[in-house]
Amino acid sequence: MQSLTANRLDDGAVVYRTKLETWSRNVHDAAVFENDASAALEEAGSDVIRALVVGVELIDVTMTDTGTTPVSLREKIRAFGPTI
Amino acid sequence: MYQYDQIDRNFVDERVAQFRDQIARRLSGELTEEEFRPLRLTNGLYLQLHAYMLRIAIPYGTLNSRQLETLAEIARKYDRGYGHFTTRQNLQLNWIRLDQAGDALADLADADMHALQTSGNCIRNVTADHWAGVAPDEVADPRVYAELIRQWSSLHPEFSYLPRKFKIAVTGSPADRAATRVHDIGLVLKRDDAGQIGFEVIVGGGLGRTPMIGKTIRDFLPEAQLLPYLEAILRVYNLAGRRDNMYKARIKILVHEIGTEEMSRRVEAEFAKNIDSVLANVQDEVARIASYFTKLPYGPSDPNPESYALRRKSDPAFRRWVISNTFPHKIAGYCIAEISLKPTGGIPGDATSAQMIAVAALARQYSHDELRVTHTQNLVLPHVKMSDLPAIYDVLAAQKLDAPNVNKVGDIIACPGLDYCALANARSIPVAQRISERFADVDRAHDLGEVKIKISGCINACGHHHVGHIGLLGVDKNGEEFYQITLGGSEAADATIGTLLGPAISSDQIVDTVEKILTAYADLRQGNERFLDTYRRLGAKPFKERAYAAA
Ligand code: SF4
Repeated sequence: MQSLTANRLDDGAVVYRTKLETWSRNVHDAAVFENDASAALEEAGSDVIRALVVGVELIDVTMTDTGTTPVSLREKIRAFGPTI
Repeated sequence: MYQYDQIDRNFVDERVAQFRDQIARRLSGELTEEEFRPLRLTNGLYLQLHAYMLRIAIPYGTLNSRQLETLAEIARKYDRGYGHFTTRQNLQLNWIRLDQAGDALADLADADMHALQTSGNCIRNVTADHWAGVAPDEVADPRVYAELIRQWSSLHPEFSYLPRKFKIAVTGSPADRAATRVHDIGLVLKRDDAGQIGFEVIVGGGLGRTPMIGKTIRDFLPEAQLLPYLEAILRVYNLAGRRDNMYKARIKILVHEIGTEEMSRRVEAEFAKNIDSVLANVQDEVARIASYFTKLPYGPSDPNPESYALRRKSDPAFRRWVISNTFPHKIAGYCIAEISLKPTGGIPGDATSAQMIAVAALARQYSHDELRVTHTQNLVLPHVKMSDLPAIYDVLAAQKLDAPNVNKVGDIIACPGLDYCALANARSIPVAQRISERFADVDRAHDLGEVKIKISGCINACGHHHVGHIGLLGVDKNGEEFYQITLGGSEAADATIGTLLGPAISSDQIVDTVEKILTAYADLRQGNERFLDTYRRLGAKPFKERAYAAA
């Protein structure tokens, strides 16, 4: 399972692509792509051109009770903030 | 303190105006990220994991009170009310917005500061001994030359696209508190037999993926020839440095590949063409810069005033702080007071805006309006009267800045690591926090004496782990954080790259392992040996056995 993440251009904040093709600050809102996410990745690229976000990337996620949750420590830290 | 003249000021103001315009064009979509990124980085603005990060240059680690207050205000206004002092004597703000970065830089420029030369393949912010101008063992003040190099190298057109970044450090004393031997160029001030000032020139040191100790290519370079000689080194490097491979592009690889002798020969040949250049004629500028740094009005001061002696007798906490955090000054009755930014369980190098403002006030009242940032991520009040120590200590204690641990086990260097840094493999800060908690007992820490623990979250080695007495390098093993341990490193005059002890240790085990190593030291030391001395005498074996022994 994968989701799309990026950083918002104006403040650098971490955002996730939602089902509505908007960007949410909350990882739990992230749309999940079960199989091929390349179409979604390309779609999201238009927001790079529109200077809304930068660094669009696919990340591995799982579904938990609270919603979409990243797998790697790096992406957990991006999603939930520094651990300190 | 050096103060900007009109040329410096116009230059920085123009850059701020340019960058504001570039930001506006980026936000409007006129510039793409590919076009904008190098412009952003030239101005010290990175995009990290959570936000933009602004890296502010603190040239040779010297600040006045107003500048520190400005940094505190910028952190408050545009960030989250704190900043992170780095191993390059810079300040990083972790939560900057792109659309406010221009305003932050304009505020910075108002206090004679900028964020240039903190990124990119240029000559970076020059670092210097944090005891410059006050150390008893000093030959001459390294900041004069560091400032000269700053002016010469700022946006130098010929050296703005070097094969890789380029770091220069200057120390004024043989003890080398600027880690000159692990810089691209290290300069050690010295005098020749005739008493003339000059430099030992060291090239090709560095950490990162391929750590190397620099090689001396000139034992004595007369002061006046400094810039032409640096220019010669940079020219040789600019032409011959490996642009084909980013990992081989630093000057250390060039020096390693062609050898010290050949490097020296090429530099001298280039220098010979250069010797009459206008850069050899900077005596007036050196004198002008020097006039900013010398002749502080030190009044008479009692080396052992009653107020200080009484407090020292009656207050053990004060006494311990004085023993570990104050150092002899060149003028009798004064001392150098180091402010540890490493409270137990704290984030190494972090200071809140309130703390910065309190320290700035201390500097104004008690230290001739001057402060230093150390490459060990602490602050220094460089000109303190012994009689003022009790009052200073009380303010520091109220601000939780009184950790009595300079050069002790708790005085850990840690890079931002995976908590902030986009390049990291593992976290650094939480490991530092856990180690400092484990050794929170001040008696124990003082008994262990000088121990320099340095932690990096990836091979880029911003935490200088290779030259830690104990170095920890975070690695990612199948998604888990592990730490490689190196022992026996040093960044001082006896610079040494540490040796890998054995297999990497899990995050769960790493604090126990560090404790085992230090317990082994406590058992094995002889007389007044520091950890590093015992390690050098016995080698890795006994430490390895203890570190990897089953619990
Ligand atoms: S050492 Fe690596 S993780 Fe640490 S700050 Fe440098 S680049 Fe980031």
